[in-house]
Amino acid sequence: MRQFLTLVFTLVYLLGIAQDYKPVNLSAIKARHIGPALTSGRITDIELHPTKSNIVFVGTAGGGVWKSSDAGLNFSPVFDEHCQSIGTIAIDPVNPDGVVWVGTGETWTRNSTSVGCGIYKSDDGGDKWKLMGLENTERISSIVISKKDPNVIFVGALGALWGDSSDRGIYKTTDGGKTWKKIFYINPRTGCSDLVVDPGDENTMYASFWEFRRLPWSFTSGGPSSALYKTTDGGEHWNKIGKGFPKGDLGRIAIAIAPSKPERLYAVVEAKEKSGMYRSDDGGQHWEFLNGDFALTVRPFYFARIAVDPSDPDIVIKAGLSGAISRDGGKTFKGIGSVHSDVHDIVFNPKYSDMVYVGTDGGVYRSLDKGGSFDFVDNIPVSQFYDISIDDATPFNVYGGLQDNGSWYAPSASLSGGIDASKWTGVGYGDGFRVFKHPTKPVIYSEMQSGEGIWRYNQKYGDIKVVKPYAEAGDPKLRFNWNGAIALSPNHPDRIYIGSQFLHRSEDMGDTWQKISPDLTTNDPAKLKQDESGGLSLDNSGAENHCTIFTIAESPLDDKVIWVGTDDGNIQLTRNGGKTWKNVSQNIEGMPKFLWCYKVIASRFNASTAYAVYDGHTQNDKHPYLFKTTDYGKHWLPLATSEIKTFLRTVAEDVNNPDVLYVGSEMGLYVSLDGGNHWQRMKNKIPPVAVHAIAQDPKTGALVLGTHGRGAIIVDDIGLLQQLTSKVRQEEVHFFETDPFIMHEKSAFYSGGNDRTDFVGQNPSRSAKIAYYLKKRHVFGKMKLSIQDMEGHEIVDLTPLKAKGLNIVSWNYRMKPPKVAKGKTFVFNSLTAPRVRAGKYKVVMTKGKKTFEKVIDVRYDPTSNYTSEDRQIQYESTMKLFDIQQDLAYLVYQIDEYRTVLESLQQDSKANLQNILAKMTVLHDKLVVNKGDNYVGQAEPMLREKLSRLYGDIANYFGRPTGAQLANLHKLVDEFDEAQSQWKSIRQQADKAIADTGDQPLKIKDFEAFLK
Amino acid sequence: MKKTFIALFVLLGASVFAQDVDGILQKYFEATGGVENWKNIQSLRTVGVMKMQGMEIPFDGYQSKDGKMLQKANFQGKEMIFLASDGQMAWGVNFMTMKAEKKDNETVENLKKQAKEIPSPFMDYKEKGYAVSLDGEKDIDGTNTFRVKLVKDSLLVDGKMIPNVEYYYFDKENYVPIMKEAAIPAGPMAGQKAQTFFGDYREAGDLILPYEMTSKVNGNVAQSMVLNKYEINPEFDESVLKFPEEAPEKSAPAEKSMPADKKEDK
Repeated sequence: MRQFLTLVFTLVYLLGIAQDYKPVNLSAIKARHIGPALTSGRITDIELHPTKSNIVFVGTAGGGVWKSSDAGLNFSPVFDEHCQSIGTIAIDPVNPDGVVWVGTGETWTRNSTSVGCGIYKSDDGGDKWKLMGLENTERISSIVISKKDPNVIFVGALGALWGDSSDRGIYKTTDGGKTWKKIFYINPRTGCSDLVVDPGDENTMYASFWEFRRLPWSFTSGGPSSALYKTTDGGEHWNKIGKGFPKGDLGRIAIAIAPSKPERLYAVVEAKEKSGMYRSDDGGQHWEFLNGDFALTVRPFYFARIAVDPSDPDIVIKAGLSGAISRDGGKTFKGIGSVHSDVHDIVFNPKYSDMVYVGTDGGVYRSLDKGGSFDFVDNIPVSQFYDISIDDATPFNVYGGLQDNGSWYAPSASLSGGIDASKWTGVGYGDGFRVFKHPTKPVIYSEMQSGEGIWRYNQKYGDIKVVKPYAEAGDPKLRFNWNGAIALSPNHPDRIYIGSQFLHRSEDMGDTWQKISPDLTTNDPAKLKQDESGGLSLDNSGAENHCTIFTIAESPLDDKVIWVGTDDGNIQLTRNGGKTWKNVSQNIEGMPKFLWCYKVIASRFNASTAYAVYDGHTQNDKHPYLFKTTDYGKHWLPLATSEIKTFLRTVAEDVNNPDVLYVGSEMGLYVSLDGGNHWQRMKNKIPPVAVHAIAQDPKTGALVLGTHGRGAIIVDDIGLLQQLTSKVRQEEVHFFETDPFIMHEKSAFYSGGNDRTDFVGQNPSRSAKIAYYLKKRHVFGKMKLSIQDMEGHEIVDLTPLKAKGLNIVSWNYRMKPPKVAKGKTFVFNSLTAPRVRAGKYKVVMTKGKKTFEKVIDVRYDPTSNYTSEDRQIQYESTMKLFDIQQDLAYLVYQIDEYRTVLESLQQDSKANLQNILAKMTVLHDKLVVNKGDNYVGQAEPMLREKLSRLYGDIANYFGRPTGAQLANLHKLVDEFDEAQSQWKSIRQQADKAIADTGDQPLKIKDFEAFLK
Repeated sequence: MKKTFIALFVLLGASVFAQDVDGILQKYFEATGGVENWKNIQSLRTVGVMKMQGMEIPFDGYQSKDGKMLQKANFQGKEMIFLASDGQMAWGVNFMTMKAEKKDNETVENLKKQAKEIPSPFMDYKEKGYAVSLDGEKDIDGTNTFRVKLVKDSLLVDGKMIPNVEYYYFDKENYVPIMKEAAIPAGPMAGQKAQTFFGDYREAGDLILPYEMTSKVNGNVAQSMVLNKYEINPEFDESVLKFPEEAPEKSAPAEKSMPADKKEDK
């Protein structure tokens, strides 16, 4: 039976290939990134152009590669089509404007680090990238490119973190990356953690090798295979060096060469005794211990970069908790200027070494005084959310905790500009994880790592209280995961759950706790020795806490049904509110034991249904594991197919359609339209970033992704997938059903200040989104999309999108602006088009000879403070001014036409023409501005300008015009009527004058023709 | 039998492997009117409407093989020349003062290089000194395309020559480009990706040309140009390209009597 089920599992996994599923084009569904960037995120590597100070590349732990072309003022992402965990970046010294290499996979091997996907090359300065192999190395630490022949490249691969692997060591290519040869390898546990080349002799290189291993419950740094090696023949032979290094096993070794004095080497060596900085002045033959300060020796697995001033071999900076600088050749150190903690990389500008960049857990900093003081780059939104949640506000707020950057929330939309740094509010310290808003009260829950702090923050009273559960009499020590499990009840607003090895429940927002389960984990003593973790350097930060509850879900349909997943493989279920528990993970067939249950969710459609995601990558297993049960865990159906390319972190069920499922993988978001039979990756502005958490707003269908590297990403239009059935996909054209469109009626002034580099998250579109499906791309022939009233009068002509699959066209509820009188200058207020009234409208698509129609419903904002009468007066006033501006335009057109004719008659015609022309000029000058310019040379406003200004004031508002505006409208109408009357008289005189010359009466366009 | 297999192999090979860039371009020119008709183009006039931010602005454009260029638009009844070039210098009307101002030297240098793009940058690209290569295939909004890399003459930006690279995406089904992409070379958006989508291919004289071009920056629609007509080798009055010492506009006659405003900048 077990074998049979394994076979079924394998078949389902391969289904994607077997049935040749064709993904639907969903590129119209565009994501928007809201940051935050005020915290930025973990930076792994910085690379500067060798000669152009303006070019800077930044590699990040989970947010890809960013490039600046203005010396670090502004950065843009340049690696969004590939995995986002970056180990190192190298610029070709021969063709630095063109060729850039990226080795993927972060090498600062913390518990939450991601994995890479090989080495990439760009030939155009980082615009487009091509995979050049080494896909299985997982973590690339170094790239050395020959100055003599850029086709010769050496790569140091640190390799797998969570298990044995032979895909590590030093690789060499001699054909620009087409083929690779592994030229130096130690063993499956030991990888190349650094590789540096002598700037004067590229046959001389130094390579540090590190023996290391991480398990979900422990970390080991160091062993007999860790060592420093040197080659003097271009990598043919490598000799272990380190005379003067500590005795015994070594750990991670950081290595750097002084560019101005290549025989000077610095190394920071991890060892049981005498860890610290060593220096060699003879090319590595002899080493002298200089300094064992905390700043140098702290957490070698996390900080192993040394940078030497290119112009002074005695100035050296070591990465670390805060970063430290020596100006005496490494003998003594002091801290660098204030930056975010956890400095991972430091680079000196090669030509002007006072300019220094550092990369930290909290982003990039720049110094112009060699590290004495720094300013922060505020436009790299690579924050790493561990979790994400939303509330039920309109617009909803987004809550979450960040790796080493606290906990935050921000609105998903703002009235002014977008979501800039000022929109984010801090709600927790340390590493932030799960953050929840109380469903009905102004209370936010947040936490710090390993249950060290669990806070209840009442914003109304400014009250922050620690509300975590403590061990009760007779209890063992409570074990909280690094990313401790917290969940709210979907049924009881004041109820909150927290998971240690037990499930704790509070009915009073954390003031009192009840333990409602036994130890739900395996409680394996072998996995509870965190105080021994770290290897040569003890590292018991809490990050390795294990045998803990990791995910909790109370059924929205039955408050007695609670699912719990643990980091050591269990899924436990109670159906009686915690009185009894059953381990239902044992019913999952075909899955390795003790993998990490990363997410379990209770279905909102059926109490017996749940979904579970398992993550095996911490046991060196990167398969996606996703299961569904419909019978309270008795049976589980595997849902992950080969269409999903890597391991999973989370799953979410669409709020309306149970056939639509979302999963967050380590490399992007996937969606299924058929209950998990097939999956496709959502790509448009969603890079292959680790998606740790998903929340969906039930009101709008918007999906919010908590990514571990690109902050919070919102996919506003993904709710359309609920309608994308297989039947719809067969239609030539299909318009999607949409909820009534609400016309946004709120405004605010800009309040962003003068910071021109601050990242600003995009607001959602406030337009009506007309969504349709095209079976085929429209390439040839005319295609038109217009909005009409229900009588078929065209209101506006939109630009149709023509892609195969889903298309979304925005309409801003506006008609066309009025045609205005021609004058010397422009009337910008008249660029405003009147807004339509609430009601039903037709969307009409003309495609070749075929026509397709859809009726849409447009409504006023129900939260606005305007009465129906207000709106009616506003609309009528707007349209009155719209019409009168067009009437005036026609009047001025007539004057211009007549004047042209009369001037042509003047030379040989009667004297009274002069008089008529003079009258026309006087009238014309009253109607439109005929002098000045559009800036400070503007003339006094005439009737056109006055009408336009009033029109703009009224049409851009949504409610009742002021009394002054209405009075002004009457006044201007009177002025126009008077002008009409004058023109009628002048025109009669002009017609007579023309007739007197014997010419034919002047033919001018009628009003309708003029408007066209 | 053996011959059949060989023939089959050759056919398959031709369709699967032999899709070099010149073959794609040849099919493109054939599908859109033929090389001869393309080569007949000495100058091109485009008339249509530019749609952006809810506005519809009529425009009229002209470009010739010998570097003459005119772009004018009608804004609130006034005709504005945004760009005019006789191939040696270029000017445009300042929107604030509505007076002609000369374009900066870098713009002029870069405009001169554009003349080669008539009738198409791909026509005789080698003689132009352009480099064209097939850069793989890519799905563009659900349509399979060939990605063709076009390297044109470098641009002069802020005193430096920078590469001028465009990627054209040719629909694999019918060999017409449906999109082109390039990095914005200068200004506050420098470095960001601008895409132009080509649609509504229809007859234009003896050719088949796109009547709609929608521009996106970083995926967001910036503007679209909807053409009413193309004119191939039209009559053209070159005197309009001459830099006007006074305001070039044809405005209300009354303004002729008005003195120029000399106010200082605020």
